[in-house]
Amino acid sequence: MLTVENVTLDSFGIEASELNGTLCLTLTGTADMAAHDVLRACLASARSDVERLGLDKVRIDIRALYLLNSSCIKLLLRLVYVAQTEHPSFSIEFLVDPNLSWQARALAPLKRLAPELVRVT
Amino acid sequence: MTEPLHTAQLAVTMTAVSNTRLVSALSTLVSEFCRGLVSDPSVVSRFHMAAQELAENLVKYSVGRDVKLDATLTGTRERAELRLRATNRSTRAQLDQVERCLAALIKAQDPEAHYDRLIREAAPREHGSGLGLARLRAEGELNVDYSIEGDQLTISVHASVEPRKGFPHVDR
Repeated sequence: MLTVENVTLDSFGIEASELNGTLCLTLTGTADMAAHDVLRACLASARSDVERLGLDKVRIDIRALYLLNSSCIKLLLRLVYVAQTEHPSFSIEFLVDPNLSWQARALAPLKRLAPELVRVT
Repeated sequence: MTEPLHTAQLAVTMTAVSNTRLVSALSTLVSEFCRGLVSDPSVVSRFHMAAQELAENLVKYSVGRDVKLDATLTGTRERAELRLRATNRSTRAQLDQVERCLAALIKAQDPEAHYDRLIREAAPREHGSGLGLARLRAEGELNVDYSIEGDQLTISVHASVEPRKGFPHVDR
């Protein structure tokens, strides 16, 4: 059972689920200052769940995200760093909307940081 | 032949604002203003990102009561430029810090490599980002300028753009 909790704020939401060894997080709305603290808590719980449940992948779907600020990018970066440096490791897949070119652009540095662990599809 | 553009400007001054809702509202307003002037959604999204980062900085680092954010389209139809400008007052320590960041950012010959270096440095840190300004140039592909006069900091980002057909009659 996941400890990551769903989040519903006025302008931001997170839905969490687990499917075939993958922890799935769907982010919606605006990932800005107002979303920062709940996203940080969510990713910390996700990390714990990955380890406790022996999951090997985290999938983060940002297709319904309208904006991603640098503070929230930093939180995703921190998750990539944890996947790189702690054991057991896990891969991270980001789902982006090809019609929203900013999404892949915003995540490109994370893929460049850890090309063996990060996929942007 | 160059066709002069009607200058379009949106200027917002806020007083004593530290509300995250208003930051998002402000960046959305700037984004919609840009969308009215430029049809390319990629350009609009780059300026939306910049407006958000600049507006957040205004709230985080201002010591004075008034902060300003404006967006201006100038030039000719063939050589138009869209510019965002954020102005606030700050402490000497914060001004020194941001000036170091901005000077390094502007001096960097490869903005993407500079951003990647900041990403690597930021990754192990639990708190703080330090990525917002570098992101403007690397990800946003925007030119960055700044000025400091006394305790007043102005950060500008700008890029050449293709104005929407029919501008200034943007409601067509």
